[in-house]
Amino acid sequence: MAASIALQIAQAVAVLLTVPEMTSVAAAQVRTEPIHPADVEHGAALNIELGDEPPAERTLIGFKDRVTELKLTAIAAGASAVSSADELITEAHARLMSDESLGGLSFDIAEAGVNRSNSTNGRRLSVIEKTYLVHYQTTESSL
Amino acid sequence: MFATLETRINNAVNAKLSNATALIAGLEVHGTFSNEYVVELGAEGSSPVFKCIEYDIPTLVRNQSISITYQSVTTSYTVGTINRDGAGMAMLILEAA
Repeated sequence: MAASIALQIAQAVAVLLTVPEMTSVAAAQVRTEPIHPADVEHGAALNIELGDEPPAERTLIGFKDRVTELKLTAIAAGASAVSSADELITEAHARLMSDESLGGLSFDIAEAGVNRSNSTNGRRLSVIEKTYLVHYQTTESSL
Repeated sequence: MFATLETRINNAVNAKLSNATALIAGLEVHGTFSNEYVVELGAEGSSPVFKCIEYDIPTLVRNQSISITYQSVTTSYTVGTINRDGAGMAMLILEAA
């Protein structure tokens, strides 16, 4: 059974953000659809998560235009947590925008909102959550 | 009268329960240390907290460096917040230095 285009998009983004490895986050710390909390004791982490999808639109007979939310969350800890998270999301955004087609899966990536949060969990903690809207098309009979 | 009683109780409880010693500006302060696992903003870590008698730390301020000796291991921390309970005890929320 083939994966949905949405899941393939998340997987393509993971490849885009790890190959070659980014300077601000180790490839092992780039996590797709993580279940467990990030371990940022020894370095920043980047989460890739799919979000909600509004109803698909039938713009051509036999095809559906779809949009999925894609959320990148940069998490950094330590004395320079704010600047580290900022550097990470900036690099990840540039990397994502370098191939908006994601290898032919998407025909547009639009920017949505950004949320920033700071806290402490024994170390200073900074989180930047950036949401994108990835537009793609499937046949009516597939996701 | 009540303040005296409160102080006596705080001293007795602290003397009985203290499990760590903080070195704050060259002075030793006894208190209770804990460092529980926490998850905050999607990241795991620990929450180091030192509870002591308020009048033992009259000049302590945020961002001051202190060291805690707990179970024979000494660790340096920065004071994040000082939570005074209004009854003579203070809880220091610490961050890794």
